[in-house]
Amino acid sequence: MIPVESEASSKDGVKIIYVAKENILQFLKEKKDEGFDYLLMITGIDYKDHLEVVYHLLSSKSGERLVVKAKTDGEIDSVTSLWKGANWHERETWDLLGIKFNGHPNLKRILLAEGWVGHPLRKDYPMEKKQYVNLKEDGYDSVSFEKKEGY
Amino acid sequence: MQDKIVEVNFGPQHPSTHGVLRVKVKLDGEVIVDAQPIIGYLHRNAEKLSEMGYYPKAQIYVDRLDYAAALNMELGFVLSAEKLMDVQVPDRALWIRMMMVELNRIASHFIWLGTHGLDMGMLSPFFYCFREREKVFRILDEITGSRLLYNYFAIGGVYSDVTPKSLEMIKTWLSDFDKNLTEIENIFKKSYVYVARTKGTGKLGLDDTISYGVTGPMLRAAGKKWDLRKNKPYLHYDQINFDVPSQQAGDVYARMLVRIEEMHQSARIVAQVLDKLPAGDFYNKKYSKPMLVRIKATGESYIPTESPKGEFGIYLVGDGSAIPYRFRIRSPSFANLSAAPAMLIGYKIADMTATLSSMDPVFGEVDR
Amino acid sequence: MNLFFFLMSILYGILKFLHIDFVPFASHGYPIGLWIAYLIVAVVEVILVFALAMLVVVILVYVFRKYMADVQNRIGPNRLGPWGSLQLIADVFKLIQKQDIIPTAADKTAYRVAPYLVFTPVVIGFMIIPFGNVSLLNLMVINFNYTILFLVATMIISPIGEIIGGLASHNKYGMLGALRAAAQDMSYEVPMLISLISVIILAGSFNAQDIVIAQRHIPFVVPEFLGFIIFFLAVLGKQVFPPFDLPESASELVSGYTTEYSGMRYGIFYMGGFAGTALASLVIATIYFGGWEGPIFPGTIWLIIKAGVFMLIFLLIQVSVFRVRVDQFLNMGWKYLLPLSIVNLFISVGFALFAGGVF
Repeated sequence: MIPVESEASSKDGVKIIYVAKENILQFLKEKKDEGFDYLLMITGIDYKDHLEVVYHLLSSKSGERLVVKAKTDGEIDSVTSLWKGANWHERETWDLLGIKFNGHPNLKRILLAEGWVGHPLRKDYPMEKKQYVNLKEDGYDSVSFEKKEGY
Repeated sequence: MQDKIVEVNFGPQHPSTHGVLRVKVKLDGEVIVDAQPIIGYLHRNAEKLSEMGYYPKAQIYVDRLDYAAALNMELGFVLSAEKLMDVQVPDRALWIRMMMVELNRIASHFIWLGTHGLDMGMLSPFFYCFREREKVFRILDEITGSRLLYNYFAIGGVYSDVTPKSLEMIKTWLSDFDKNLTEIENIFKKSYVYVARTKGTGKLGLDDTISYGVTGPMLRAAGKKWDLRKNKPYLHYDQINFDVPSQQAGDVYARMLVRIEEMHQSARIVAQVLDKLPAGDFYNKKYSKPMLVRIKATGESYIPTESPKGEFGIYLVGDGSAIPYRFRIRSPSFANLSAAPAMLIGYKIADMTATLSSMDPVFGEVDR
Repeated sequence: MNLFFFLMSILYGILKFLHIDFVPFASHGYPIGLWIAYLIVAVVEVILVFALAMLVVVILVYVFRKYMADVQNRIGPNRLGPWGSLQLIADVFKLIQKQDIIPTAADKTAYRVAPYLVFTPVVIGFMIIPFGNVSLLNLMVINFNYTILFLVATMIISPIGEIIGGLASHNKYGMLGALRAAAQDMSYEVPMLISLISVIILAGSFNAQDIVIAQRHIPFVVPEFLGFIIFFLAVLGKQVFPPFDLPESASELVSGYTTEYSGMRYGIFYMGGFAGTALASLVIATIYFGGWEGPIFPGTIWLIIKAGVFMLIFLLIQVSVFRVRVDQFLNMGWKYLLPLSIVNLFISVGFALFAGGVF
């Protein structure tokens, strides 16, 4: 049994469980065996002093829902071994929030272009600084701060 | 052996990728040996934009997620926001929302059916579907004042009441809807070529479906009778009779059957709402728009809704100010599309368009 | 030689050419004017046939657009000319004005030649169609003993144009389209030729005119019904529109071998496709439905009626059938059409042996 740090409830009545980040993979594996077979989304929240990774689980048999949260400073274990769908969700969280998932097979940016500077959903992301995506000779994207022929 | 394999980029500009999907395909002759979807060409970061303004302001970004079913997107947002802000909604508004959402679901499925026909190499159903969709749009236009992006649902109700004229329009539209839809659906079902091409194509088993987090019609086509309108009723779906269609095969043909049956059921729901529509206010008079901007909210909420593509909801986290602290969109198309490689590898290149279009991805929502 | 003799010999040549007793080019001993007359007549007839092919294409494109629009609850072209009938001419002018874009990596010569390789053989194919009655006017450009073979030879050239166009444009879609074109034409030309041979056996001649005359009493569609079905499907498979437009299927391969083409070069491909449809209808009408044979009306009108029906059938199929998948399509060619066409060949041989006198 993995220790639960604390429990809470969201406004729509779903249980929120806080788990230590070292235990997240084990805890989710337990939950998956308990019947929470759906991983709806993985997301992150930037609380300025720390980051939080949020897992939304669903049991397709009982219809029960569960939110699992883990505090982190930017690194956490990947759950791609449990759910195939976690792949893209973790890539997106890395892309937009800069949370690194250890053990992810292909942790690359998914929505933004490769080479983008910064993670936009961080609260300290500089919004006024524009970045331009250009097409390189070999057909791949490159990002620069000055405007070239790109968009 | 290595030079036998050809790498082809499908998209981002390709006639059948429904927007800006790019699939890197490795081909061995006509057989797909590897397929990697590459997304992000329509990325606006709606989440960041929504975290920059007051709660009601986020609604226009939500509208533009799944532009084919904007009202369903708005519903996910207003339900979540109302829960977070403890806003009560009058009964009539709930019924109106239900009706509007089902109308928009029909419009969305019509786009899908038309473009699906186009992807399968036949132009005609596209026009028939857009003709029928136009009828739905006339109704939505009459009620909301716009055709594609409505901004109609508000936190605390809806922006305008349904008029007797619009109800009359819906009644006349309902009277021959089933007949017209059956006509179009027969083009597909009774075509030998269509059935031969789609049966057994793009198969995704139930285990994979759940593992990838695939929801909506694709899940129902894979053999699970799972519809949030039945399994976790929101609005007043528990007071209405409708069936959840499901198929066992999990292929393109099954998805087509499920979606078409869903349209019939949506029409059934609309007809029942017309009968049950109660009188009363259509918005909560306590919350005017200037008032809404001032509501401060804490805690978090996520209300899942059944959008035409699957489970849609918005995960809102408030920090005690009038601006959402975290605004996360659970996008069904994103999760559905992540299952694409499993459905493409091993099939022919000609199946690729059928499979991709059977997923019904809308890129406003995938790329957000 | 004096001018009078020269002109008279030209006149004589023209008269002689228009009658049945065809004087072969290789003969010696004729005055020089006769040679020039042959040349003039040949050029005029080629121009006439070209004009005829273009006219047929224009009419067919117009009918196709209007018919398709009607099926799809649209109006179709309606601005230019009466009922939009001049739209295609305007489109051609627009296409001619467009910039001629040739991809940098393309093989330029092959890229330029490919559209003409598709279009020209189809027009040449028009030359062997007998448009009219023999006893009055020999309404065909080329008449020798093996016109059907000649037709087959020309029909095989256009796929080569498609393949060259696809490979030369240095585009992966183009390459895939070219490969599909090659596979498709290989698997469909074989059953088509075998069913043609059955007709030739029945008619006892390779000459299109003789085949028409052989159907004076019973059109070949009656004894050769199986062959007709095979030929029809095979010809349908060679068209550039759904359900068998696999080499350039818009939703899979963008546009297949025409992906990189634009402007008038694409227009030539497009017109070649429609001319191919017209030619296919004419050939079917000629070899299975008695060509120009028919009561009351002149032969040409009968041919136009018969071919027109088939053009409409092609259009009907186009707007109402989904695209066939490429492997299913090739399966149909090799597994069903080819054995059936061989069976049909034996049936025809039986007919020719035991009921030869009927035809």
